[in-house]
Amino acid sequence: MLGTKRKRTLSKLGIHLILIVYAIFTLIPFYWMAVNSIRPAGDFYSRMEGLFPDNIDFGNYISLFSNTSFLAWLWNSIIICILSTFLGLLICSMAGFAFGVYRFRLKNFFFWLVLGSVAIPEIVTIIPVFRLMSDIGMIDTYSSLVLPYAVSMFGIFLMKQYIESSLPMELLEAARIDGIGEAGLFVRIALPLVKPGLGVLGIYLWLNAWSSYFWPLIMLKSQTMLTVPLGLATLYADPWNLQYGVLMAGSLISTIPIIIIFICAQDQFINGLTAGSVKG
Amino acid sequence: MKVHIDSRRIAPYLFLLPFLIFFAIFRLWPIIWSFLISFFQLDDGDISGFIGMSNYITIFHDPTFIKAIWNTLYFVVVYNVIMIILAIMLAVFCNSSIIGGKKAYRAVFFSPIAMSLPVVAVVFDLIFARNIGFITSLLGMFGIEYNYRIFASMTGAMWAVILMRVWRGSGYYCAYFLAGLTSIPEELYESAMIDGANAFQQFRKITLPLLKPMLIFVIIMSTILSFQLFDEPWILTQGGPANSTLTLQMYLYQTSFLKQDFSKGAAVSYVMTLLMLAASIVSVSRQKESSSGRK
Amino acid sequence: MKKVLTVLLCSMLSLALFAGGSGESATAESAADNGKTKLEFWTWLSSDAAIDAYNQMQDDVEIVKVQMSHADINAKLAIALQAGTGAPDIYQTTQRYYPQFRDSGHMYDMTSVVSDIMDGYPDSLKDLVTYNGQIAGLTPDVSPSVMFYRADIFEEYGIEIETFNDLIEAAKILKEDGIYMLPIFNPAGSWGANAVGMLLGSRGGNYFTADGKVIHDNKDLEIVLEFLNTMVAEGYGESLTFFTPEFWGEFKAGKIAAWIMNTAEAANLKTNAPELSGKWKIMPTPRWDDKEQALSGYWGGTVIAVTDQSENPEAAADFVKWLCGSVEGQVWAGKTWSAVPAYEPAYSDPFYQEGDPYFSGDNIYDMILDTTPFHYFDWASVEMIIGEKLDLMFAGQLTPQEAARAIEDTIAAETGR
Repeated sequence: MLGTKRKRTLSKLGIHLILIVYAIFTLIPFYWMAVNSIRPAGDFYSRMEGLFPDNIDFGNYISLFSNTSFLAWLWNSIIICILSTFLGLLICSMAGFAFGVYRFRLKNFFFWLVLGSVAIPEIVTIIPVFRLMSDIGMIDTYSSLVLPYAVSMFGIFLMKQYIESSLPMELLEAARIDGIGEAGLFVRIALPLVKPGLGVLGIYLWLNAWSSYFWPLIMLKSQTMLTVPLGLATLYADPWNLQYGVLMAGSLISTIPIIIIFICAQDQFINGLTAGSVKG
Repeated sequence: MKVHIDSRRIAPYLFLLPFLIFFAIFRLWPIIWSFLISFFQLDDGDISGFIGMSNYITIFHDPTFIKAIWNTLYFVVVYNVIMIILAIMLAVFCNSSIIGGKKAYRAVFFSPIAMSLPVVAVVFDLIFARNIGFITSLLGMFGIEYNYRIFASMTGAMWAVILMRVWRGSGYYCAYFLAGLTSIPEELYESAMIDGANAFQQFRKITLPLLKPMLIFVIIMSTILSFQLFDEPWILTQGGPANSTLTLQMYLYQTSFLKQDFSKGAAVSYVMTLLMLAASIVSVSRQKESSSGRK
Repeated sequence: MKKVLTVLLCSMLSLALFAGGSGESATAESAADNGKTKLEFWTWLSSDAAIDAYNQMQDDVEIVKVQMSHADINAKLAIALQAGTGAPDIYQTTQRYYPQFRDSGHMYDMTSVVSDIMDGYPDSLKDLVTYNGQIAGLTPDVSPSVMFYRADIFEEYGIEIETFNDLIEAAKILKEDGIYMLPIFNPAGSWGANAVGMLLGSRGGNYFTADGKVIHDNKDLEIVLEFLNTMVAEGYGESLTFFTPEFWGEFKAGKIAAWIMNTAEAANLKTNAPELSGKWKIMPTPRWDDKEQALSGYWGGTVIAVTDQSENPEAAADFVKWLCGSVEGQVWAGKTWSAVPAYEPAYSDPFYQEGDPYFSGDNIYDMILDTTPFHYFDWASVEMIIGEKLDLMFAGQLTPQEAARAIEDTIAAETGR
């Protein structure tokens, strides 16, 4: 008995040790980013003795907020993320509902269309979409970033699997008998039941929109419309005016929204994936 | 009653309608257009002369393209194997019933995904820098000198890229595996324990088979995403040294935007698509085979 | 059924709403300004001060800077020109990439606006911006090479440099004390082709003939590669990836004694290693031992052009003319991004005749030697090919002769030149 107890304590320690080592590995780049963001500009290229800077200076943060439009970039990114997440959730859950609940003639055809197009690199679609956006006057608007991201093939796949596994058909039939229409089934029965799945998809869509670089680069023009990744890129665009310290400060701050969202949503995220767990 | 039946028949199409509209505008017709232009000459954005398979023939005669294919496959395989093993391990440990603080671990492991790819590249450049880098400062405290230029090494550079991706990805996919794990009923482990199975046997006989659906899902998703490796090598090595980190996506970018040959670029991306699909199918069918073999 | 429709309608409406909403905000923005015509200018340089100076003088137009890296500008512009829409009024690109855009035929012909100032440019730059006999852009700057050197180190070791062989001889002494003579771009990255091109230029050599044919059995190329290879193989030069934090760290740590580089890098030395002020000096590019005359090579330089999609091309061309073809504009270019004027009358301005205390009072513009024209063709391909072969040479897999042949043959095969 004592033996198993000791064994248990040992393995507990062992697991903690492994997890802590990996957590440290995970945090090193964040630490290094933070350290480099609080060094005076003139020190940036000099060697640090030990792991802590000799001089501390918050000048990078000051110039991030006073010399760049960082707050505007942050605002643009957040708006774009909210809109594309919302729209993506709506479209994907509707399509997922159609695929998961109904039998219809073109179902397989549409579904393979979705899966097949996942693998085609986005770059190749840029010119036609760019032309279209330009023809309807949407270049340099939020819509030009939100609309193309609204259809996530992964999202539809996920919602289909999720709805199939967590939405009992009998429940729908019973509701139909009670006289609820098809739209009512979706809004009143399906959506509340698949909420955790929406959480998963929401984080995925948000991450996608938050970190995309190339598409916004092509679609946006004015300096005030830039998103965070594009804005930060201007800090090292000019080889004669490299602002690594400011870049570190800005990057560190821009990771915070996603980490907060994950911490708030992590239970739902993980439970959401569980219930929807994808069947091969 | 008649109305009822009709609405059930029309409803799926109506639910699909927004998706279909968006899909048609932003995916389908651009895809068809680009597929077509891979067989045509492009003149100021308009299709002009038919050139047949010549784009496809040219790229397959380009040793750089073949090199890019190998580099990409190498990266995809090595990265995914390491990342997935690590992610499953972390998930299993994180899910262990005997430890506390799981939420904190999960949040820490997840955090790298919040860093955008170009920034990851810059930060790792600062970590590996021989003179002002993290490794140098760390080892310097013990009087050890660090002199390895990893991005300048033909073998090391790709491994540095793999390391960056593993760092960013394993915690993220760990969350997916955690989700898969929490759905495995606790009783299965309890009965296995009574049968005297040790932790490793439990993992092999219970955890792994039940994790399979999630595993396949992660493999497909991660294979497709990692095929499009671009930012880190583009910023740090521009494909060097000697094209050892040149990826297909970089080749595509160079062809389309730097050499401004969009028609050839389209051909490159369809070859890429085929490779991606093939890779996902192969890895998934191998997973399925091995699982049925075990049963 | 009605409800399905309602949901659909709602979603469509909300879509239209924010689609329209953002469109509205965009128009509101332009209405809220001073009523001036806005001209969009894509550049990677932090040239705000020059642009502000120009805007101050204008009643009707305003230049609006959009900053991105030059790789991003090239990609974005390629798409806009192909799509026939979305290009800026004005853009800046490097002289080595410019020919691709020039030859697309989508540049505004500014001959009528700028013909009176064209005498101010050397012939090679006039040729660069001429397409079908029309002026399709102007050069704001050139970037000839000089040699920056640490006067304190040179004095301590009694080093005097006149030729490239002197560099190798001096490097042998410095090596014993762990100091490198020059930084060498190894791996080559996207800079290698440029850097070799600059050294080629300092011999009066080229990759291509003026009409765009690859030069085969290029003796100049061989000699340059031989020099670089010796620097790397013997450990005389320090292998570095250019312009990374590690790279500047080595300068700051005093590990590098000299740098043959374009004049504009003076600004970077000043910002990145301010504490070395007074220790650096500047001299002209050394002479190759087999040559009688020393020359400056070209690192690159830039071009500013107006696209044919601009709605106000004349106003745009006026700005380009001011920045690239007037003494005042050229002085602003010098002040904001340390440009070396392409427009020769600008050198008469006192700004270009002052010494710089950081470089112990040396005037960098006095150190520029004569140059011979350098020809750029299909640079995207050239850059990749040369980069790869250089890496193979530095790794010991190719001799300099083999590397030179491989470069020539591969470029010829791939570009058909």
